[in-house]
Amino acid sequence: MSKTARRVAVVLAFLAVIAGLVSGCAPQPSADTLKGPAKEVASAVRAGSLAVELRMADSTTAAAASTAADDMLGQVESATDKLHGFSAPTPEERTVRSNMLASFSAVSRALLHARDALNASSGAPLASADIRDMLSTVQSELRAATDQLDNLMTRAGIQ
Amino acid sequence: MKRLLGVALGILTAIGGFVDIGDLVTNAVVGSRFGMSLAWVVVIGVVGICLFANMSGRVAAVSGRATFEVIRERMGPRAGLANLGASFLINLMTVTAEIGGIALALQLASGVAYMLWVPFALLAVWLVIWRVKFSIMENVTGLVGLTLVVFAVALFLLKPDWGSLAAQALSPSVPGEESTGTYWYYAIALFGAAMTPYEVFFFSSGAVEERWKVKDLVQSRINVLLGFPLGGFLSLAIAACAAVVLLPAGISVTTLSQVVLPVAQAGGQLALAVLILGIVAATFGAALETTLSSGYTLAQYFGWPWGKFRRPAAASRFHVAMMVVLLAGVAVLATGVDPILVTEYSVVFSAIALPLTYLPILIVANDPQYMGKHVNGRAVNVAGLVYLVIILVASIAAIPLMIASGAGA
Repeated sequence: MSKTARRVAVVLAFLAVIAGLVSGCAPQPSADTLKGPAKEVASAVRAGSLAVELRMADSTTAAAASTAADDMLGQVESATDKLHGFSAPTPEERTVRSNMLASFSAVSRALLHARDALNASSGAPLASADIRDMLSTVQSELRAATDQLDNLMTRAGIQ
Repeated sequence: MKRLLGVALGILTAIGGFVDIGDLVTNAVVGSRFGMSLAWVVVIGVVGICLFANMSGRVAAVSGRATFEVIRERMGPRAGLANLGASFLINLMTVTAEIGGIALALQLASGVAYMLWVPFALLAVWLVIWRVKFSIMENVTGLVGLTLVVFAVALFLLKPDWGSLAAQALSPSVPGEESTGTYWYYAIALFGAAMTPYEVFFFSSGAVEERWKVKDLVQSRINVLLGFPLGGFLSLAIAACAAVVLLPAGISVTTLSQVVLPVAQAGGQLALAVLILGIVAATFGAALETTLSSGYTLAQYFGWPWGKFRRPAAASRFHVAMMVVLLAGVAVLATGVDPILVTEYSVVFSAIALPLTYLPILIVANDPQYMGKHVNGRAVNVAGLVYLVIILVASIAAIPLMIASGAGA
């Protein structure tokens, strides 16, 4: 074997080891893997809720609050994609996963409504009853989605 | 009086210019996940950047040449090329992150999607680099960036439990929710955010741009030794705001829109407006610095005429290189990659590549052929060697920790 061929073999072996390490770190299909996406969504819904709360108190602008809601929506979408990527071999895991997906969907819906309400609050005076009612409604929806996710996470032993 | 004003201006711009998108994001992420338990890393990082900037500023003032010229000459073209490759890639990542940061801040102000702001950010950065004098550019962005002090004001308005914050900072521990690997991964990220190599290239090339002489060393030392630590306090205030508001609420920072929530809660819309102005100034200033640093490193390595003190036509390759870097950064953003993710990786890769820039500076600062009687003193060398060990350990540990912690997930 020539010197160059030996070097190439060493580099390839090194790359194979790295690939092995990286694939070894890839998510395995277990309930533990739900933890990451669930925590991301729990954080996102709380951030969305805080943005709405600050808007209701007139502490933030409609632009900043709706940007936060939009960003959190993106985060929930990304967590949902991750969850779809995990396989759940046992029936229990499949149930937990589908419950989790339903919960993510509720959070996503609540954040979408929050974003729309926050956008709508940009032109109108914040003191108007319509805007306040709309923001209160989405805040309740966000809180309900948070409680639903928290209960699910507790049942799944995630928190 | 004029000299005193110069010193004050230098300190203020050093404070305002210290924080960039890497510091903003990393400190907020760390505060929201680890409280103040990584504050010690900011202290180590600030001392390190003071040491590093002081040595490179002294090399530039005494030799009249910037870092990369000296590195290439002293270490040879091969070592210089390795250094150039690593530094250039990190500069490119940082330019991308900073332009993304400008656009994200403008989205917070306007509600218009950040991708639509990216071309405007590119154009504004390029125009300023093309047309505006070095000193004006540096001072204006640094002074406006001072408005980030609103983080410190917000922290006071939030009326935190100071004892608890101090306890977290003074007796650091890994929170139960987080793994030890993730803790150390973020320790390296924070260290990289404080000691980004572009700051040093910019600082030393700026010394040549502003024609520093040996007599200017005292002023530069005061700017660094007062300005950077005060900038470090801003970093701690960012982490503390996140630790006080976001950590108890169970919010882990992943976006810039979350970073501003504690300030809005503390100071309302006025504080938020001041903060957004500060973020735009800090990221814009850093985008200018990183773009210039990219041009400086390339031009200094290849021996092209460089510098804003020359007319663009007289340093055409330097200016073209910067345009290419800006366009490359925007092209990366156009793929839809999250600018915050780029920021998180750029600070870690800064830590990985740090030995390549730190070691040559340490060697040159001890070489009497370049430095004459201004070589490092014993105390600086002891500190320099201690930091060399820290930098090497951080650099070696970064990739395994990145894999083990899933990049801090």
